[in-house]
Amino acid sequence: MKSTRSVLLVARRELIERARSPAFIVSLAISVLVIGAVVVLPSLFAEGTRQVALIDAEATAMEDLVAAEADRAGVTVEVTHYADLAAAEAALEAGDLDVVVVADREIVWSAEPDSQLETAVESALFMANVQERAAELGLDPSAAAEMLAPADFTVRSLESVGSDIEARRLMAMVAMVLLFMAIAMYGAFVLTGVVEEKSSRVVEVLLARVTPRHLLAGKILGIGVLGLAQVAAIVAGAAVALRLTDDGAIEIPEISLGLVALLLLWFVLGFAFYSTAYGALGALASRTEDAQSATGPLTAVLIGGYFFVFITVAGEGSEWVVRLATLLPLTAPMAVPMRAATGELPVWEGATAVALMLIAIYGMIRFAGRMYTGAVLRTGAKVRIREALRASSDVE
Amino acid sequence: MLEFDGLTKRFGPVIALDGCTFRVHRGRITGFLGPNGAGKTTAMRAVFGLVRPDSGQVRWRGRPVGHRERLRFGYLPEERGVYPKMRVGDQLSYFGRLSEMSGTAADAAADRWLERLGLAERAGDRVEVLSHGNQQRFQLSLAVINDPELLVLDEPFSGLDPLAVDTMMELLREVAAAGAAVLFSSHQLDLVEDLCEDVVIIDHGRVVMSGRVDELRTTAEHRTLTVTVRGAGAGWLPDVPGATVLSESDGTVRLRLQRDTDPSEVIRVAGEAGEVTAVSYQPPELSELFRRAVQP
Repeated sequence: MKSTRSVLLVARRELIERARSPAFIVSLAISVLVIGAVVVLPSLFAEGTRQVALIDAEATAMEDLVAAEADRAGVTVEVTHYADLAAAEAALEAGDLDVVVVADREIVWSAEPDSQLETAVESALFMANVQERAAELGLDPSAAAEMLAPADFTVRSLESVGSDIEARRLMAMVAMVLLFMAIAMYGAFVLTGVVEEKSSRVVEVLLARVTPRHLLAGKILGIGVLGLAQVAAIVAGAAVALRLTDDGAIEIPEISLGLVALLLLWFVLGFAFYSTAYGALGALASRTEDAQSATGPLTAVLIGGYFFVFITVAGEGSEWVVRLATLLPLTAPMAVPMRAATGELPVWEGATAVALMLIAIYGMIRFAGRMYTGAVLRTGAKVRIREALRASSDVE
Repeated sequence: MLEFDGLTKRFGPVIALDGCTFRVHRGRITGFLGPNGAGKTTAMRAVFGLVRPDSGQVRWRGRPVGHRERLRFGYLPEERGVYPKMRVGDQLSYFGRLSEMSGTAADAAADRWLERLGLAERAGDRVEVLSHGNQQRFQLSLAVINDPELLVLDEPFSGLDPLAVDTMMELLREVAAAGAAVLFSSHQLDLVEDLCEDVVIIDHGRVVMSGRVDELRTTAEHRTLTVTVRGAGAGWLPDVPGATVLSESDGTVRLRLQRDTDPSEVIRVAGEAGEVTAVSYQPPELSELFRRAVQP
């Protein structure tokens, strides 16, 4: 049989059997829903028009000031006049109002001030005060207004920053977490798949018909395709949710096709590397209990890599540490998409990272293939790595 | 014909196979006997590349066995294994596909074997919900799904109830009658004697006896004589040169005689001691050949 056919047959079985399992269907549905919710919920809860109450003020002047300052602070307000402070406070307590302004004297919040609204009403009160004092000093109101007009100046930064930099950072963070979770989860699928075949003893029946390398390769391919489909579904779900909620209220960066492609590419690379290692280490164990201890060090490396990227790339790492995280195959699958999402990844670094990753995957496949071959037929006690590598020559 | 030619395999300090040489013929059933640890499983695994011999070769129809040949073989390992959560029909068909069958051929073969083994209605069930007996039958179907030219079974009778033993024997005869070579290991020597034309006995990794069961029995150097005598006192038995008493109880005596020793002398003495009610003179049973062959 052509070797590709047996690899594809194994992959097909993994794909169908797993996609059929209720556990997988539920987890896929949940992850898509969660991503959708994460995207949609903030905009649902985002506050729209703030309610401001004015007490016994010279109505229109104060109302105009509040409206003008609110506009500058970027909030929309609706002003209501109350004759009575007690009634206004009751409405505030009931949640019908966001703030009560007692003309040029007092600002009342129900609890913590809303920072945008606070700026607006405080400025309005300040302006009202200034205008009052200007009138007392005998200044012409229009001259006073001119004097107090906002200064006209421009702001620029030396490095180019997108207006949506915060949103991009958030998206980069989400991308990194998504890749970390997907690699860990699908790596664990490969691990349990290998251990299940060993503990159910079906592996000897299989290996009479398939070579160990083809069996491992097919398993990784099948589970990888499933993982890729899930990551794609999550990204697509997020993109659709973003499109649906895009009412301009919050700043949303476009999920570019380039970024999506990059995410999928790095899922494939990271998964290929880690799941191959998981599969080989899983072959050392005969029982699920042993599998955890066999793969403990690898999981520690993956989680360690995640935190390393989190601290250095997302946080305050020096330039060379960030570069290290980008180029090191252990951390690249998380670091590269993150840096790409924030738009600060030089092309040469991205290309070098891919090249190094491919070399690492090749090495891992060679190494893991030997280990898997040597260990997968040995039942009983946990097999040592060195033993497995030596025993690989016992099998054809 | 399957040939094991000088197979040697060492696992660290343990010598599993030590120049193991024998043949398995097409259309015949060969019993593979030996004490635990004699190397039977290692030899069988070598057929499927699960063990790579240090030296020697396994050949099928004169050619070294490789991946292509193995796809036309069937194997039932000692450690039975299935995918417990996969459906019966899907799983059987999957193993057919892995044996180079096309999808439709594998599906058809799966239907046929499930029908043959009485599992047709269970095709859509997960294997883990089958009864123990049905799981054993399903296990067997995995080994024969590709209508193998060579069927190798490691302890196929262990753990089977008498009815399942009958089913298994019937199936092995059927497979051999269809022209396949069948090799199986067992400790149940009576079954082997019933079922096999050929037998191979292995000990410490070497073949100590092999050939056709009937020939091995008739060419054995001794015979078993059983005489039942009524009314004879203890110690009636004379010393006959070339005869050894194997057991004596209730007037029945079993003796081992050299092949050239005349049994009539013993029977004559027995007739003088009392009334002879039964006599049997036979070549040795397989179990006796086995014991003598593997004795240290």
